[in-house]
Amino acid sequence: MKRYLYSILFLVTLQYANGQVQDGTLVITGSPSFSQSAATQEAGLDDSENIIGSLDPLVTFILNETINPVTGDTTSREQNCETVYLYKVFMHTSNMPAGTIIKAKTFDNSGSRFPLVSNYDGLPPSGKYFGDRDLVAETNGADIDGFITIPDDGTVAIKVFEFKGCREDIPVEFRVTPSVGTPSGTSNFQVYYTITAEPFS
Amino acid sequence: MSKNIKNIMFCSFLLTAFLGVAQETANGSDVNSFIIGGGQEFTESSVFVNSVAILDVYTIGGGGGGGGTVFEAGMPFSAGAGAMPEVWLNYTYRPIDPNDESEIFVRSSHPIPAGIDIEARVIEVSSGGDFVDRGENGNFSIDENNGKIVKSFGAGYTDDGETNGYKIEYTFSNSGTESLPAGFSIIYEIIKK
Repeated sequence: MKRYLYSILFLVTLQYANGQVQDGTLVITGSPSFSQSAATQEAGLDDSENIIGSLDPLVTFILNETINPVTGDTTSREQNCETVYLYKVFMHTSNMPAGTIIKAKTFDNSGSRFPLVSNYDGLPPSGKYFGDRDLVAETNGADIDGFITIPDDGTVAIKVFEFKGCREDIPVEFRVTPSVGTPSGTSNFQVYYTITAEPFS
Repeated sequence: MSKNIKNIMFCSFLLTAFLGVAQETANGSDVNSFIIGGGQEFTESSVFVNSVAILDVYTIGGGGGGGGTVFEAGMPFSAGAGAMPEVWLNYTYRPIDPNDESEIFVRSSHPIPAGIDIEARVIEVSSGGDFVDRGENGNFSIDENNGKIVKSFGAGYTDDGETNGYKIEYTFSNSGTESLPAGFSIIYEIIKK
């Protein structure tokens, strides 16, 4: 009987360890604006020249510092980031003006690992359960130049890139394509970044 | 039996193929999709575009369009009646206010001499671009006052060049011996309603 109990306890602990994902903090630095300098000069054409974002916002996701409730010891963000998870970044907008398309992209391995060097990186290939702490830009459904159309619908936020381990200052390029249907003047909208974490299993 | 297995394999292959093409999505409106180990943030952005209201004409068979001049300056019309050149009217319109509408008018640069009558109407509409047919299909006489050739419309564009937009037919009749004054032209204008 006791033997069974140990087995069950062991299994439960394993489940728990697997299911738990540490909390991190997502920070977006900077927000682009899109301003058309001049409308089309040729009558009959749609007014749909691409507008490049005024700046590339930076995306950072780092695991939080933790305090052991029993010992009171602090585990730093760097230490917590030794545990590598797979992060996927999905994007959507809200209140995008009618007749307007927004696209986003980043580059493979843009941004930098946090911390820059970790024990995980020094493990032999077989020990790196998630492979190198790299970033991969999504290519599924992307334009030839890498841009992915962002939906104005939160229920279908689209994946733009994924990375393994904590990462900071990932630049995201934006581009807006207006049309004659875009209301003239200034329209405000929100860009949402949703990040999901998956433990290695 | 083996046929069944083959079918199953084929189905899984198809499914995998579809999965490979589908873009991965998440429900960003549902906190449960990212609460464990993930997160969500948003930033405020804005987009600014100019309003635009421009039009252009292309004459068929005649010289290049663009200026709005359909008739050769001082072109004499000695007698009889006949069809004038056919013209394609293009426009691009993004109103200042999304609810605004505009109309397109034609008028002559000079008074039409007695005995001469020029009539206009839309005889064809292209299917390209993004606009609704609001052309005036009935003939009306052109004079120095604005005559409506396209009724009120909102944001849209017709595509550029000949065979795009509205094809306008002019009919000319001259019962006297007058000719059109030097510098005579037809003026097109897009005006907010």
